[in-house]
Amino acid sequence: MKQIQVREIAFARSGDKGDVSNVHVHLYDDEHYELLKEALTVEKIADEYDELVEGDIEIYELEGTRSLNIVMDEALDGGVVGRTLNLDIHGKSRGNILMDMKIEVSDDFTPPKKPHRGS
Amino acid sequence: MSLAKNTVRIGCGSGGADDRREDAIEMVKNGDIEYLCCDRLAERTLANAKIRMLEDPTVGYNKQLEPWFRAVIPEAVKKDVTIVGNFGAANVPAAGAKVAEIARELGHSDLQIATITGDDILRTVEEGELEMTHLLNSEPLDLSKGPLLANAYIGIEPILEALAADADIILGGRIADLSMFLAPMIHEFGWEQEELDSLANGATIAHLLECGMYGTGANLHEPSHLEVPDLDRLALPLAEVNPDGSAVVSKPPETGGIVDEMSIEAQLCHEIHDPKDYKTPDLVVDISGVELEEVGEDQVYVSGATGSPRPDDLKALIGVKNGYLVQIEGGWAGSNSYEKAKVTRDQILKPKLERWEHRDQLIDSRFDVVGVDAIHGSASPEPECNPNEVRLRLAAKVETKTAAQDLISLMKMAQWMSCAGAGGVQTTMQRNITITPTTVPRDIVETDVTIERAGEAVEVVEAIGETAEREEA
Repeated sequence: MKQIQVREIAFARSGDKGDVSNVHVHLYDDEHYELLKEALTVEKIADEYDELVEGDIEIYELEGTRSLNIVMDEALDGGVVGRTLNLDIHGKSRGNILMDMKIEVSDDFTPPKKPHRGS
Repeated sequence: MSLAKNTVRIGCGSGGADDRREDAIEMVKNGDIEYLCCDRLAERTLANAKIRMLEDPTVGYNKQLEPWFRAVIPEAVKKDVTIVGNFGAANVPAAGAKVAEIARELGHSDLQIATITGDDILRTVEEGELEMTHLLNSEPLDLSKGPLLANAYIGIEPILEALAADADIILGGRIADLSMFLAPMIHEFGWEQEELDSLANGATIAHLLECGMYGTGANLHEPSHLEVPDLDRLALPLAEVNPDGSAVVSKPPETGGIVDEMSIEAQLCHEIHDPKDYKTPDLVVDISGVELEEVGEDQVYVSGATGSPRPDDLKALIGVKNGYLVQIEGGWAGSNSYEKAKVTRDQILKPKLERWEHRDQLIDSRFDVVGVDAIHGSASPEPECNPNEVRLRLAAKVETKTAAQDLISLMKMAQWMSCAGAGGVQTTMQRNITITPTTVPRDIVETDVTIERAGEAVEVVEAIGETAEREEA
């Protein structure tokens, strides 16, 4: 087994509603859906986000697009509404913690080809 | 049901308070659209607008309203495009009067301008009869410091009234983002309340459009992973909507950015929690089964949402004054910078904060080493390299203005007089408002639609109530 960053197989965008942060995770190749679901457990995510998340974490599945939505309560120190003192008041960067997470894959795992577009 | 049209083309004119007029003009000129829908508010924007209005009662609408409409109205008239937007922010009547004035100056006195009010429920909240609890943790709201603003998220109904009365420009305050994009679809296709799946598909499209460039490649580019072309020429998204609410999402031709499965998928769940239970003022949407299909270059077909009836209550935001926010920040460069920041934080600023004479007025505070742990805090690993330069930031909430100014004075000097080479010390202070999301019963929110021809600034030219009743029947 070897470790790779989630960033190698998926993109994550984060958004805010009040003090709730959601990070939704999109695979470059839908074949890795099961791998992703197994790797991203509530415990591992809680560990990775450390003191940033004080409330519950819930993981929702979107079968239509084979993506995951991770919802974290009391995660933004009040967010824009309670006016966190964090420079990133919306938590726009929170998806990066998820993408930097390391997951275990088999030694022969090759990361998917990235959709490279444009000139 | 007889359908007047096969499709309707809806363009996004903005997804936030500061979106630029050039991008709206690009959409009107080259998007081949019938409606330009504009979200200009976020959870905090309204509070900022309210603060401006308290200082000057003639403002409090979107800060860019004047240059935006001055530039966009001539193009919208040429292309016969209807504009819907929550530009009114905290002061819808003033926004309506200003847009009418601009239209007159541009020689378009015949434009019909609708203003939608009623989202402001401050007076009702001040009466103290409502029992409100926090939307998330159900704790009772503490209004002891006196509410500064209270606004309910209003839905499609008043927009439909204005559209039925042939308004050219529809302005409101806290209209829900999504409702502004959904209302024109309902107006064109005549969806009834029980046509929940069409409404749900339409709402999904509205959701994909209402964050502006987030649907077309903004906030997406991951160098060497997920590349977005021509980032300097990003465009706003548009949709060609079918009578069943499914749609092809695209963007104006020959613009930058991208519309593909990844860009749309990234936006699909943005700021949504349970994908089977996305609450809007108009219906509850289940997006978990939404499917995306690339049907051409920069064209994605979106379908498969389902809906259920609207929630009983409306979401509302209640804002109370909560002291002042201050920031003091200075920095170092060179190979010993990070060490200097830590010494200044731990051996100078923290002890001084402990000894500060107004410490009882400190509500909250935090120290950040910008470049190391300012954003991700305790989730940040120790840096793998020695940073070339760092900045040390102290942010605090303080009860009174006097104490806030004193803290700035104290810490500014402490930073200047810290480790070797300390420089670039900057400070900011602003009023702080704490906003609490809650819900209120629908029946306390009474919206009102006023339509005026731009040339007749105060005269009401349509009997709105009757028109609306016909529309709903």
